[in-house]
Amino acid sequence: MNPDQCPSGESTPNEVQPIADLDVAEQPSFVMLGGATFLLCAQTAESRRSFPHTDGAQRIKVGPEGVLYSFSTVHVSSSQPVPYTIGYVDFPGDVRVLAKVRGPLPALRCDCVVRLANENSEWFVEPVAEAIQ
Amino acid sequence: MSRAYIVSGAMIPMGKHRNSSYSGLAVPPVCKAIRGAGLEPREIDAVYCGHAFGGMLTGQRIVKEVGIGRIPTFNVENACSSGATALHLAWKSVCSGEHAVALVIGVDKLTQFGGGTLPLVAEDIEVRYGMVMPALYAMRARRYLYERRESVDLLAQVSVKARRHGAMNPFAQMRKPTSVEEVIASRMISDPLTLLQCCPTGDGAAAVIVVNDDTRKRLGLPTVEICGSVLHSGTPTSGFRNMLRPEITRESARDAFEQAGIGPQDVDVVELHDAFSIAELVYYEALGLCGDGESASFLTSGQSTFGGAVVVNPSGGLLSKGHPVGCSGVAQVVEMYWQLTGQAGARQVPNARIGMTHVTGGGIARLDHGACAVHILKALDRI
Repeated sequence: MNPDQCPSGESTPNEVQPIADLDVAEQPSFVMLGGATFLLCAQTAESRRSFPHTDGAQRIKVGPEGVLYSFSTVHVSSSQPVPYTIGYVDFPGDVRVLAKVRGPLPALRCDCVVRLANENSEWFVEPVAEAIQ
Repeated sequence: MSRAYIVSGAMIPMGKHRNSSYSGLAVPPVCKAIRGAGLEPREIDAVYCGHAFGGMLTGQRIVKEVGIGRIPTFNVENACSSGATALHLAWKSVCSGEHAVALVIGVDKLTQFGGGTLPLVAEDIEVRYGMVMPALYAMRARRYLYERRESVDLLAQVSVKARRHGAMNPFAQMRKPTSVEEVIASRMISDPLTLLQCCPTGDGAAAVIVVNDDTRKRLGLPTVEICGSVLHSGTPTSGFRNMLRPEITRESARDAFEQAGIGPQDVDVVELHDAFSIAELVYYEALGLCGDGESASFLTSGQSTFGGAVVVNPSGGLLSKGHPVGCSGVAQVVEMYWQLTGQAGARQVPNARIGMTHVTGGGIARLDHGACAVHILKALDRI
């Protein structure tokens, strides 16, 4: 019998424990490999969700380069000191991530190539040299 | 099974009503809507109250002030679609025969936050990375300008039209006409969206009475039939999404038209979710009011204003009338009730017979929006 069809009140199975998704360790995090920055994101094979510990979800490595789909510099925010720039970045493998964007604003445009980078404990993207020229 | 009809509607002028509680905002339109239907509070069978920030038991806090109790009261939160979701549920309950008379309320008080951007749910991962609603639409705007090779002047023209319409609406929060130059010169909120391209912060409340066939016949009032009512949630993806083709709105509109047995070409008047200037352009296409890629010319050629193919946001829309989140879906329907029953005054769309309302609530990672509600309404009797 499928154990999911017969829930038991006698024990607390591991798969129905709360997910500590508010822990920093559960968020997209960066790793350094060969001098480049990569992100670790949880994702299913179908790209439908990227919630850690969801059935079938795995941590995958993305980067270091992606394409900036769109971006905006935020001047009024209820959550963070302004101004700051955020943008959606598309990485190979059909992974889209909202990222902090740094670098000279004139170099930013839709569809420009950006590269993952990090400073202290934060990761972000910045336009690659080709996009600046 | 019955059909469902709106026989009365009311709202307060949108604005900054800091000295009013949620009850203080909503009781006047509730009383007006009940009286307008020729009903007594005891004749209401159920209450559906949409709000996003009202806290616990908002509906009960309102209707107890008019002597309504004991009957079921449903409090509905679905972000910007809260009020329209409440109407959707009332429509279902009347159509199913569960209730004969339902009171639908939309209410919210944004001045409680003291200004700034709407507080999104802090535990959402994109919010933690700095997402706010203006930024979401600003990214959509930047992509639109990039792909369509348009300038910010086009975005500003949406605001100019909204203010021109809103100037005729005594219920609108922003009634002063504006210009492209003024819109572009206003304070930057989230590049490229300036202040006058963003809906104002404010408070509001609206109410409608939804009844079944028998009650409609008994009351004999100017009536609007709800011939399409659709509620969708966003589809999750962690990959590419075309921000200029919001599938939640496209699919909601498609299903609503199918339910109503009509097409976009049959619609005379629309109240759509123009929370930011870019939204109106994107939703022209998503609702089928024009073809893909045609939204710019649809606006600039005057097809979406008085004298055009369809009048979009005669109330001034969210940009001018205001956008008290949970209120907006019901306020749109009140406007449509007035338009389709010939009660819209200076902003009356001539010979309006079929109307559409659209609200969509966003601010959640990996969905294009969280909830979207589309209603199609048809005039039955005119004053």
